[in-house]
Amino acid sequence: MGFLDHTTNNIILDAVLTDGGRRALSRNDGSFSFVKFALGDDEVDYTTIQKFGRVVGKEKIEKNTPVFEALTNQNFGQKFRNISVSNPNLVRLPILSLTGEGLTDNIVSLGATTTKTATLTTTQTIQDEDSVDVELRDQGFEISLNNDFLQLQGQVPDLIDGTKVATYLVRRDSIETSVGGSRVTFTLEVRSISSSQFTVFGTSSNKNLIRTFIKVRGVQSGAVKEFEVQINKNN
Amino acid sequence: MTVSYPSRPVVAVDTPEVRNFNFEFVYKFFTPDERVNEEGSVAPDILKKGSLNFDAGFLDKNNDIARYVKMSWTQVSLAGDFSIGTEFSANLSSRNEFIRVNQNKIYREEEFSNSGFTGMEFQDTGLDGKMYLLASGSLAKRLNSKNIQTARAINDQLEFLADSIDTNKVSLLDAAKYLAGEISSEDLPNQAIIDSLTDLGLSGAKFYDNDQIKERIDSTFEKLKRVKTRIRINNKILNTSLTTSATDPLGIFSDEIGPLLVKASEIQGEEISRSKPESIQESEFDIVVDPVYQRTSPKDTSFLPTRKHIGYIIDKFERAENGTLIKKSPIFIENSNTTSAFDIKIAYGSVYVYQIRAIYLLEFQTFSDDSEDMVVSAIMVSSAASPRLVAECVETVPPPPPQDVDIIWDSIEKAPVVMWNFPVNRQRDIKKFQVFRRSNINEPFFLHREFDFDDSVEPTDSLERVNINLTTRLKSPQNFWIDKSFKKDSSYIYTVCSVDAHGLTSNYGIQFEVKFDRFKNNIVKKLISNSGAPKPYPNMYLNADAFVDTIKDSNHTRMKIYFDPEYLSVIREGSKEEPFIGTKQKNTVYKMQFINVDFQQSEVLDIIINDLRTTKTKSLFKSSLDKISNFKAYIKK
Repeated sequence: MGFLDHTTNNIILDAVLTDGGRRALSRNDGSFSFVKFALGDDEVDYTTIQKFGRVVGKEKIEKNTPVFEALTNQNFGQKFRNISVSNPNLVRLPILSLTGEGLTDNIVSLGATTTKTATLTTTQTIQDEDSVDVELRDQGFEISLNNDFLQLQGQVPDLIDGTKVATYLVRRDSIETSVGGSRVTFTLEVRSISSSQFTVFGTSSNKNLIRTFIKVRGVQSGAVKEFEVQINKNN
Repeated sequence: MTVSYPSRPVVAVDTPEVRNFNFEFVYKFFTPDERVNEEGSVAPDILKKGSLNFDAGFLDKNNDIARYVKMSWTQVSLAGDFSIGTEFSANLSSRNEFIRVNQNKIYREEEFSNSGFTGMEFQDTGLDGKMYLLASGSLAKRLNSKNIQTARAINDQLEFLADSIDTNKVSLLDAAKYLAGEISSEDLPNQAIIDSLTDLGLSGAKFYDNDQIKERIDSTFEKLKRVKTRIRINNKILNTSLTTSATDPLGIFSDEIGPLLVKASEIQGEEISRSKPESIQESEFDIVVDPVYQRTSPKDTSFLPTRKHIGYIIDKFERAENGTLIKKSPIFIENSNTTSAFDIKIAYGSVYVYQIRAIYLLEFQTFSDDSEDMVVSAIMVSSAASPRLVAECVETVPPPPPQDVDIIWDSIEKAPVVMWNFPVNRQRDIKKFQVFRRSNINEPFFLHREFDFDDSVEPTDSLERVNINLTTRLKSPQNFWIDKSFKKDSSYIYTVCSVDAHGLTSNYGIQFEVKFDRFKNNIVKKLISNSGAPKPYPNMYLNADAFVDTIKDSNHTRMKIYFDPEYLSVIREGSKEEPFIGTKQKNTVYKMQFINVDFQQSEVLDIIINDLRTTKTKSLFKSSLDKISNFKAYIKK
């Protein structure tokens, strides 16, 4: 869905159904209804503000940013959704940090034979604040990974999209950090990967190594942590 | 022959009072110590600001202040007062906090008096209640009187009918017919029945809601409790006057005067004991004042007494639970042009009483005690206080229901997990979440878990009684709940509510029905209701038709359609007829679809209502049902 605020343009609201929406509509059982909406700012390049300052940068964004057309592919519809927060004085948002087995420089090393699993923990942290706002304490985390190579041990994916990206919705651990931040612990597990898959998806320099990326997103805070997983055929 | 001595002179000052003094309690957001913190959750640099720096929009826009009382009034006007000089010699702009610094030298208008007199002021804040009791008592008396008359009339009619039956010696059936004849006689025309069906007002009937009457009377008497009475009484007759008033059964201030009688008796006794009516004492005419400043008086006669309005003082009291008033630091407003003020030093749940006084600076010529020279002295006088306003600092806005309710399957716990988000709530006072569950829409919701993370220093008693075994106390909010009692064959409807720090509860959030799909090894969710259904009516926004739209019938070939509406016209009070029935004139067509389920064939018939009424008959129609023939329904195939 796109929204245009140009007085010279007749298009005010451009909305299409995503594939998921069409699937729901095709059921024709009365269950298709809109219950909520999300706003996103995928188009906005906030480095413009860093370059030109708040006044000029804001004006440049408002006047020069093109508005995306409505996309039927839900995977690209909204990559960066906005969040609603009640506290108007909020000036700092929490971020996610990653710790766990086989982690070096934000890269998790796994193997296709012996070291097939790694337990990782993602923790909410905040800088220069005493506590995380209660509305931003994540109660659940969305973990997106390539379903061909990896899975979460003991979990069932909530959705597997057309690009074979599996999304797991995982609730947070019961432990809370000293600033009230939440954390989630999950175990990554390498799926059975054939030699031909290594041949196809291995890096150009090393066909025994597959590089894939995982995204962890806090449901409440919207904070995202992305990291790389390297799967070695011989480990 | 008795001789009376001349009365003592009465010295009085009359300064314009502040009018239209009003207040508004504004609750911005929750703070844990809101019930005990009277300093206001304000940044120190804002607290340092004087009243002058608060403009009307400052606090409304400011997000740092948790709660405040906003007061407003009409600026006092000095025009039209006694004819004294208007030029003022003193320049106060350079004197910061002039009123605050000299607050102990301010004379109240009502106490500005020479010796021998006592000034008093009465305001009965419970006067509206008293007047209501008096008025409702007389009203009830009138109603009782009217009811007795009506009962007598009915009894007379019944006796008359009973005598008629006895006289005619008829059977019960004949008696019934006789009574029917009596009833349909001219004493009770058919028109009365029609009138009763359409508008009981035409029959003289009126309905009143008891609560509405109380409300109306309350609002009528609301202004009465703002009435203040000021008197100044000679001390020699002070106790005698007050005793007379206190013992008057209809005296509206009798309960206020009662506690003053002991002191009044003392004053009167002392005054009489030292009274020497045969001589005139200096103190009876001189007034001793404590000036805020003095300056040299002009030598000629050019000086005229002068006055200037320089600001306001808002007196503040806190009403304790036993009703006594505890005096708080007053609010000083050092600007005569200001018409609003904010009190940020308030505790939530407390009751504060405010009254405002205008402050004037008077300059007049006096004799100096030291030199016996004529000097110009300035004194500050406050006007009579405005009627007291009672500000109850409580908010009554319920929180919105939780948002983004979702239910996922926990593969480890093998149970559904209900998850939700905080709603956008500027008051930020949500302190509890309640998870409800029911088996189907025909059952009520049962509370399954309450998460209580209230961090208030003094928590508010909840308006709901929740089983303590269902409550989980937490230090931090928890926005999910695992239903471990869920079996794979279960089917439940879940929803969530939020409760704020003041015990107010939201409506139900969105309702989902959850089943487990063994083939997909996951749950199947179905939307049952959007959020917003009130707690007593969980099915108010049910995502389904309330009625079946079809009529099933067999073995018939003909059908009669009757136009028989329950109401022919609906008239909104004080306005025109509502567009209630769709007619041909309104281009409305009712459609009926006949479906032969054997042959899967259907036919749609249009049913059109033609309104044949004229404007004249429409007005008659309000009170008459026999004009139904003016409607004509026909079927168009």
